[in-house]
Amino acid sequence: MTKRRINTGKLQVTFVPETKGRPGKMFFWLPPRYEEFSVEEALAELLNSTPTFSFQDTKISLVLPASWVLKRKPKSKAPRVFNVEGKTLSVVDSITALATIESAESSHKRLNSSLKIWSLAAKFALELIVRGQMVPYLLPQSEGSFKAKWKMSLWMDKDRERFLKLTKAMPLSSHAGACREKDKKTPPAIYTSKLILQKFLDEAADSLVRYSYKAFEEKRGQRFISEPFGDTWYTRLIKSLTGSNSHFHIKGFNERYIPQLLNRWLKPAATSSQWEDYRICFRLEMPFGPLKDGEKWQIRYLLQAADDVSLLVPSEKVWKSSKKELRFLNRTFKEPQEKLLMGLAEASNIFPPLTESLKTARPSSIKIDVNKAWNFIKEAVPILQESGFVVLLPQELTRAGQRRIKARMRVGSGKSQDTGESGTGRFGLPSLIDYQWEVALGNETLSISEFKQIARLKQPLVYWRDHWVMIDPKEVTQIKELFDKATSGKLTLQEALSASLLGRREHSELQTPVEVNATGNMKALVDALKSNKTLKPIKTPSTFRGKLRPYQKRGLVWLSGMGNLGFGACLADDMGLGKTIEVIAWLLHRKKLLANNSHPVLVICPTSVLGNWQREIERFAPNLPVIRHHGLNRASSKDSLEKSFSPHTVVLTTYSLARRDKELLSQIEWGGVILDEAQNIKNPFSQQARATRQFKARNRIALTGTPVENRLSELWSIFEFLNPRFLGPLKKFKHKFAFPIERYKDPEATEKLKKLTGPFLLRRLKTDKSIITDLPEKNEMKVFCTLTQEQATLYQALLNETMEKIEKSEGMKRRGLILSLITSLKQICNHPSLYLRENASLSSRSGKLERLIEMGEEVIEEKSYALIFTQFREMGYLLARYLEKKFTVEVPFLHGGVPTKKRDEMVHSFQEDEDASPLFLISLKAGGTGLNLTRASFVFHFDRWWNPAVENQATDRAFRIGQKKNVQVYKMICLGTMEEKIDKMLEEKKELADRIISAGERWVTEMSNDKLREILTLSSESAIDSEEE
Amino acid sequence: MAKRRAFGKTWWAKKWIEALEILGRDYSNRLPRGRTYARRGAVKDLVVTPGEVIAKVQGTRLTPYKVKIKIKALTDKQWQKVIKVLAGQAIFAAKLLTGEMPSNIDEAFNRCGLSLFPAKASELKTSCSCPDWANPCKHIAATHYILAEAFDRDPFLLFELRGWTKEKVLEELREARSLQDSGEKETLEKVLIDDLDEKEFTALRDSLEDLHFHIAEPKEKFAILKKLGPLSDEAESRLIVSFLEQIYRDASQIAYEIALAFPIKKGRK
Repeated sequence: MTKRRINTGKLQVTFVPETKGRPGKMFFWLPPRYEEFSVEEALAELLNSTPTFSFQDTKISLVLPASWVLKRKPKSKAPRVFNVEGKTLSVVDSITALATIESAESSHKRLNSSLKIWSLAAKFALELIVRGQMVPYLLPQSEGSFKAKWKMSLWMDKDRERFLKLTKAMPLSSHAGACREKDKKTPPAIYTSKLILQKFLDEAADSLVRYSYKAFEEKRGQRFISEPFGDTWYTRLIKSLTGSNSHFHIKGFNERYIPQLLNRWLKPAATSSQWEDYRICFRLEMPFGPLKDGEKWQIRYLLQAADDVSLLVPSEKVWKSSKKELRFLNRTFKEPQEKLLMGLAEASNIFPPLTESLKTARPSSIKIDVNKAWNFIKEAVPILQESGFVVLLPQELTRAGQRRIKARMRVGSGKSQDTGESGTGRFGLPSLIDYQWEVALGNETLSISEFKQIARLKQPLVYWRDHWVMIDPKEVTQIKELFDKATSGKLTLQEALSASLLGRREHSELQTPVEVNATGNMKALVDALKSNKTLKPIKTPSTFRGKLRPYQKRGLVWLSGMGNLGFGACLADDMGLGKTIEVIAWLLHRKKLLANNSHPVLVICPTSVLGNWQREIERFAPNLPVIRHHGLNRASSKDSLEKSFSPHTVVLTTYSLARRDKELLSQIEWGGVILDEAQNIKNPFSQQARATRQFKARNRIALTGTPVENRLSELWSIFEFLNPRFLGPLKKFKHKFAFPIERYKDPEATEKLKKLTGPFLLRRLKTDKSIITDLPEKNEMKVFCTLTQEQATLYQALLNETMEKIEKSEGMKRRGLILSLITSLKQICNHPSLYLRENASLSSRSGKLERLIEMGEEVIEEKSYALIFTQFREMGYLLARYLEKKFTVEVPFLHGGVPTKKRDEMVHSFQEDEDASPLFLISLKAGGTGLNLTRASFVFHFDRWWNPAVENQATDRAFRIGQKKNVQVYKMICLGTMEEKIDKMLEEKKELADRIISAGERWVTEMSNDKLREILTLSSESAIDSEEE
Repeated sequence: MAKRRAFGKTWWAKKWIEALEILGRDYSNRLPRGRTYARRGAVKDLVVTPGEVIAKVQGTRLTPYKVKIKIKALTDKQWQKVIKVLAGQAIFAAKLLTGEMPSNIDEAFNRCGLSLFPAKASELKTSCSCPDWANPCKHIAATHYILAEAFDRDPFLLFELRGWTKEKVLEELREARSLQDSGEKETLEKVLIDDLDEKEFTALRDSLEDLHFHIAEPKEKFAILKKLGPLSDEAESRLIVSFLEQIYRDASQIAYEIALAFPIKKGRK
């Protein structure tokens, strides 16, 4: 059964807020009259599951563009109100579903902007609730009757900013619910994005609080407000705030005050304490030098301009001005007195000592003793900051500048311990690394007696060696306890390395992660890893036939550096930058360097590039022995395989064979294992991923063009191959990194992961400035593909049959036969279906097509655009059909039969549209004239027209004056076929090429029979076994 | 364990009780009885309007007695004077604007030659429909206690009794400090859609690239509750805040689990 193409990008999401007591719902729908698939199917595709949520069929009245509703083209842009059928989902369920959708750019699913918005809003709601940003309130219904609800309070800057950012981006479709009955005079109306988003967040707060209460009630088996508290107003209130019934009734007059009491209490949370132009600022000032008798710390009140943090207005200035506005340094502060007062009153709830100063008419500062200063820093500052106040601490007391007392780990030892595994690199580090605890004050290490001396002071703020330092008594106790247990311990090499790279490590007994200092050989290792990318270039091996571009030379240095250190390396340069060549250069470098260590190197790659590897090695490293472990006649025992090795042999094999022959391949002592297109092991549980991890190798390299740093379980799987256990168990990795980064774009997790993986990952983008200058504007490359068994059989049969006829004929007839044969062979190279004119499945029958799919995937991953040329219109249709199915995008196909107007539309859409298809198919003949398709940075010639002028003209659709990107041009050639041979001829004989320009492909018809047979005959290496697929 | 209900915990309610006690000097035995009545919940209804308090107190008879307490409301002119004084001191304005009753509020009244609390017996006129000849009778006393409790909870009732609602006081106070409400203009609830094309309908209107979220246990678990401070100084307040804390903890936990949940696998029901 063929899978139906479901474009999740069509699925629209609209939030329908609470109306008439019915709770708000998320509404999932498709444009009216859209019939290719149902909402249910789209949801199942999107959520990877047959809907487990309780969706309800609903009709909702939406305001839609007329073109979505009318069959004819609408005359005006007046919108229509239309009852759309779709599915609704409760707020809790929709948050649960939408939160799992990745929002990172790397997401492979196509998402409609309304779905993106609501997915982000769901994540926003979750973050706010995790942080406890919801507040209860009473909504009056009738006399004495209320609804007890929760709403989201956006009293912090960062939340208001994100709220506004979301509302600014919301497409109308995300809040298209019609909110007025159809009325002929006034146009239809929808709620504003601000209102809708606030309503969604409020609904999220309310329903999630109730949901979590229920979940815990079931877990605990009881309500936490149980009988002992009786039937009082507050137990009733809590019940209405947590149960399914939100009604709250006031019993009798002596509860009359409650709504007012609650509302007054909640007022500071309900209104934002942040003002647009400026904030209230508290500056803690400390005495110079040690505290003299009676001397005090001081907190000063100031105003701080929101857009210029260095602009501070002392409150004395505020009090002096009697006007409503205060002008200071060309800036206007509106109503500064009131705001300062209200701010102070609010802040005094958080830090009560401030109340003292409010008793004066013009409060500008307070003096506090050292203990209160400590309380201020320790307890009040975080809450003040969370509440929208600015707090300025003396540099030496800020988190960054703090000379706090802390436990620190020294990882590694001074001596280089040789464990016998010499030559493994890694500075001879053993698999277990020692660490010692030490105490530091700031960056100074303290001796035990100094630590004891400080601990004895029992003062939180201490003047120590000319500085104020914070000594958290809790921390001191913790450190003491830590020391009492053990002053040293051991970590695994992986743990030690990740701790040293991060500079910190979580410790179960300490609240904050401890600082980690690498020493001795551990430090040497970390330094080496970090500096690897900036090492001086090494000489390109003289045996390398070709020239490395500057960035490729840097790649070679890096690969060799990582190899020497004994760590796996992932080379993840963009497609087209020549990763294969860098690795070939490294193989030669290695050969020269390790004359005595001549173990073979295993290259595992997809079947479609096996031939390409062989050709590239033959071309750039002709003296490097290559064998293919492949096909029915491949070696089946260790002995027979090893027999075929000469020193430094490169063994090429495929992923499927790596899986099948893993017993055999894991018996070999490899000098290196290289995974090309390493995304093939993206599923860490797959057989091939497991197999690759089993192979013994000194060096491991993974090559991939997909941005693995964003595809995190893929990254994990590749690292598990490269450096086993370094990233920890997968499940933990997902919680710590994958989900926070993929779903929330969490900056902290991103930064941490970068620090960890950075040294092992080299990724250059074509768009990098330094790379652009290294690259030619038009970079032409040949892609060698292999024929499938079906293609090879067809090819050979047709050739044999037709050659006989050719040999027997002459003149026009002979010429005609030859031209038709060439066309047919080309068709076979493209795809058997093209030649056979049948309508069977296209998958796995053409080496070229498989390779195009792989490369197309990378184009899409990179968010780039590509043109694909073919000379056969039928091939164009086949490709369009197949690519659409593979990538669930509509792939436009421009050919001679497309009317001018439609053609212009296609071109315009490709150049301008935000959601344009990344792939554009063009028939070679149609594409020759007057098209401007400069958005493309890739050009594929799926088949060859042996006329460079025609090909170049096509290529230049993408490469035009004004094009700022480099353009990669790929000419796809089937190995061992006439495609390769004619290409070789053209390369070798320039003058021939010139002749061809005028003669089209006719020149072939002038060849002798022998020459013709030589050119057209299939060489032995051309085909691959379809058996293994 | 039921706590003995105390009346007049806050200073302003205490002042009220003091006033009552001055009035009740001659009939001191009525006061304890009134307190018992109040504790028993005999006061069934209490309405405060400018210058007057009307309550229904359940006595020995079936129909409750009607208790009236009259106190002179201040005139607008007198209020204006008070407002002027209040506006002149930072702490008054600051506290009132955030919904708190400043502890030395009566000073402001005194400075205008007025008093928020009844200073003399003659300022209070009380009556009750019961047959007891004593004034205050126990019903009036009970009403006083309940009133004190109401003041404990909502000090602004005092303002209301004296003629101006809290809102009115604050409004005038703002005006006196030339504080114009600079709050955002009521955001438009609805947008009328005149014309709409497909692209405009579906396209993101702004980039969202730099929007990110951070799911982690907050450093301050109940920052919002800490920011709000205690609900009131009644014992229940601590209880209700601790309930709320539990609710916040639970919701935070569940939201965290949802946020970092493993996606549902295909085919799983």
